Amino acid sequence: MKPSSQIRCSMNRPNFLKMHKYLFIILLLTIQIGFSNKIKNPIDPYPNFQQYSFKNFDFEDCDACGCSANGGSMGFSSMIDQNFVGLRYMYQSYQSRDGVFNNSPWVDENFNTLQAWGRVPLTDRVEVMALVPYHFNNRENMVGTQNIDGLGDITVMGFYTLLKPKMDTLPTQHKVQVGVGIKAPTGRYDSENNGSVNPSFQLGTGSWDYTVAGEYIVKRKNLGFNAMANYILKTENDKNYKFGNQFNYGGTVFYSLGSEKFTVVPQAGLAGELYAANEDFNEDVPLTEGDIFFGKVGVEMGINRFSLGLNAMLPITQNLTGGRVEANYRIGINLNYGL
Amino acid sequence: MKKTFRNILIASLFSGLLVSCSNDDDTQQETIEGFGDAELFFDNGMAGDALILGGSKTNSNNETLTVNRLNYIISNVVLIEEDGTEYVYPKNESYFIISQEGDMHTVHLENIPAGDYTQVRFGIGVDELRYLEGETAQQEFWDYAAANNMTWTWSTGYRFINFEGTFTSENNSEPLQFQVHQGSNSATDNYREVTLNLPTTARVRVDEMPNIHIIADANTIVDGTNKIVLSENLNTAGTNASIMGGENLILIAENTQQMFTVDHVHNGGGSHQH
Repeated sequence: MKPSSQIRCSMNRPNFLKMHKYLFIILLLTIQIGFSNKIKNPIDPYPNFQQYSFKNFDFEDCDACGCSANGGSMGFSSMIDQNFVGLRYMYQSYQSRDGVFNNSPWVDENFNTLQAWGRVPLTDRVEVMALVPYHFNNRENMVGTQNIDGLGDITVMGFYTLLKPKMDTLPTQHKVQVGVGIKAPTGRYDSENNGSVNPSFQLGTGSWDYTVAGEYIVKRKNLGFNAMANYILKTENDKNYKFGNQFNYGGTVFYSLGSEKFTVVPQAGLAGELYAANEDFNEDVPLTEGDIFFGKVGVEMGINRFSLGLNAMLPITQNLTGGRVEANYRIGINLNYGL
Repeated sequence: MKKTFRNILIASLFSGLLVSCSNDDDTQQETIEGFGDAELFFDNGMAGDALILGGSKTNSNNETLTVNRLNYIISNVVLIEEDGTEYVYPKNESYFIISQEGDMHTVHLENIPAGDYTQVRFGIGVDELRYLEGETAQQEFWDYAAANNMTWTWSTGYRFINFEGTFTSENNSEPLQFQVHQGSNSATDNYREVTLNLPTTARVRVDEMPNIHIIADANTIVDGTNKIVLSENLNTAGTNASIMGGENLILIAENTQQMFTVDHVHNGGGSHQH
């Protein structure tokens, strides 16, 4: 036995798990209360920010291939209303090499996600966000089509607004938000799938994961810029597998066109994801670390309280799982209802 | 009201983060006892590509080989723990044949002491000690080997590697046959062992079977440290390159020490598909 180098806290595991469930329930309840109270920003002093702050938090990619991808670097964006509930469909196209040789065949992998999402204000400065994904993924290999369908990992996050414009009449407006969140292992993790080259062909990580996030928005007249970064700390699941911690970052330029009733906001930006190595029984799994850098374009349109968003991401550079997995592109479509 | 909710939210989120450090708590000193299984999976390749019988690959001797057969004997398997402790698989049961045409890729080992293994050692062929035990002592394996084209006569012994096909070269644009039959003979003992490091630990437990995925690069047999040019080994009629004895077998024995690498270890259980 190798000496164990883990930090040990005093809590034992069963209590710890219960604690998680308890916290998670509290968070869900909190959201429900948020909905039922229909708390709207009472004064809404900064309508520009409220309407056009592009949320680019990418909380969800559990790994390079998004086994529980609730968005990856696709962002968490709404232009018509910062606070909303909605549905989002995401498609991610990957290919991975089915074998260990240079001439091993490439297998197409399709990750489809239908996600209920929402972002609800609790107070003037505090918001809660939830993502509930349903995945239907498939891949074609030599023996046929393999499908996995089901609920993915549910994420709940809280955000606190550190800085917001003092007056909405200022020509240049800055806003800073920070957030923390939990991802629950509601998606099935099947260790058998990990025998394959792409260990991420999963519905979830099987682990409780934690996120810290920060976002900065600056806007001058119709032109705006959003910068965001977040870090996802992943833990070991009950199959003793741990997906690598993940750092996401991105920047998006957006421009608001249109009138009060009909708005169009084109956007373009760059986004990146960095992955640490996965671990199996506390040992690094070779060729699981990686990075990918995307260019992205999108547009959002709003009529009354509804908004429709379309966006696409294309990799500029990538090095995922030692070159054995390649991302082709991602597209997203969302329909939101502003609260 | 609002303040209360906010406080609950913030407190619960932060406390969630604070307790997260206890997640690895279950790695308490696990008692490792009992016996389990392990598998060595041999994935045959040709210089980085998958070996496909009937497929062609040009080697660094500028000869294009079309391989029609690759069979070899794996023997005397030893699993080694990080502290150097060796588990020697029972010798009488430690002879296996890997055959591309027979779709035989797996060495299945049973009743291995549970443990964390970091190296594997095995022999290529049949060692002299075993051979000298005589025909009756190993009748079963001899018959099995014979059925897989891995024997000459008893007096000349086992073929350790049977590597056959056709080749073209600068000297022959028409394909000619080749046979590489590695083995020991009265002059030299060409049995060799290799010790491979595992990139991650192979965990043998009562209910966990590691699968050690090994790549066997058939190209190294004639195109390894030592270069054996098939067209320089033609028979007098110039129709066939047959390598079954002499100095070449010593060179091949040396080449096969670089033939095997471990690609990865799959822990847990179940069968290995790739």
